[in-house]
Amino acid sequence: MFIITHDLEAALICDKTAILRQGKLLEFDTPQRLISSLPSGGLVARISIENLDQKVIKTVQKFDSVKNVLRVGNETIEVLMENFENNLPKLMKYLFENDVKIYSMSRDIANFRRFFQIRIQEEEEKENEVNIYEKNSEGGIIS
Amino acid sequence: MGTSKSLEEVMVLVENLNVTFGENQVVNDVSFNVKQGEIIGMFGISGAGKTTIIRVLTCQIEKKNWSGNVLVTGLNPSKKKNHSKILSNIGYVPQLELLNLYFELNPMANVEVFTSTYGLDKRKAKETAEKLFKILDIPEDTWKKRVSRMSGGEKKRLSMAIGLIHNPDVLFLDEPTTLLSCLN
Repeated sequence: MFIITHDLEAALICDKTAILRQGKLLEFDTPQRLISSLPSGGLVARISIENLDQKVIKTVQKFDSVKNVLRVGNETIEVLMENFENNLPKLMKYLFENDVKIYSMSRDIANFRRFFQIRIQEEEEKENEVNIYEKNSEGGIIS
Repeated sequence: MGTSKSLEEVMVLVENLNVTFGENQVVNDVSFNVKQGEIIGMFGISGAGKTTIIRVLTCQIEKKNWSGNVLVTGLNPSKKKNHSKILSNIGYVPQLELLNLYFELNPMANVEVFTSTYGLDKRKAKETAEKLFKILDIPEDTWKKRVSRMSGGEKKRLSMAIGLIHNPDVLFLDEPTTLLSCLN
C-alpha cells in the first residue's frame, strides 16, 4: 500500500518511508532506521528558553558538538548533537554562562517530522552552496 | 513455507524512473521496490514528484513522458496491453474524488459501474460494498443519495471504498487524510 501524504505523523504506520524533493528520492527506508541515522541516534534535548530569538539560536549553534537546532515552538528548540550524553551537561553549562534563560529541558528521541525537516534543510543548504559557488565562478567576485 | 516466499514477492519495482513534461524533469532517476504487505509512506513538499510517480504506476502517464524499468504486480505499464490487467490488480484513491466518482449517481450505483468494469459478480459486489461502507462509516441513509449531496468526508470515504471494492493487490492512496476528521 502506498500513502502519499503531508501528514508526517502517518510515518507511524509505515513500514518504509520515501522522502522526495524536486523529483529526487532522498531516502527510502524504515522511519526507525532513518531517525537512528541522526547524530547520537536521534537523541534530542528539548529546551524552552525565555525570549527565544535568532540570536539565542545562533548562540546554541556555536556550541561545538551541536549538529542541528530546530525551532519547534514559540519558546522551544530541539537540539541534536554528537556524543549526546557527554555533551548535554556541557551544553547546559555553556548556555547558563551565555545568559540564556532556560525554563525547562527534557530529553527525547527525534520523531519522523524532525528527520524530515533536517533532511530537507540539508538538501537546501547543499543547493545554496552550489548556487553561491556557481555565482562566484561566473562573476569572479571572490576576494 | 509457501507463504514466506510469497511475502517476499516484489509487488512494485521501480528502476531509474525519469519523468519529463516538455522541458521539465519532474522525476529524476528514482529507484525502489515494494514487497507484498509493506506500507509505504511518500513524503515531500508540493511538487516533489510524489503524485507523478504514483501516476506512472497506475498507468496514467503516457510512455513518451517517462523512461525506466517499472513493474506493477509483475506487469510493465509502458505496454498499453497490460493496462487493464494492472488496473484490475490495483486500487487507486486519487487526491480529488471527482476523478473517481460519478457525482450524479448514488454510492451503490457507483459500485455497480466500477465492479462491472472489473467483471465482478453483481450480488457479491453489493455485499462487499455494504461491508466496506460499514467499516468506513458511510451512513446508510446516504447509500441511495446522489454523491454530489454527500459531505466532503463521506465522499472521501466512498472513494476509498471504491478503491478497495475489487480486493486489489496494491492500493494507492493520494492524500487520504484531507477532509477527514480525527474521529474517522
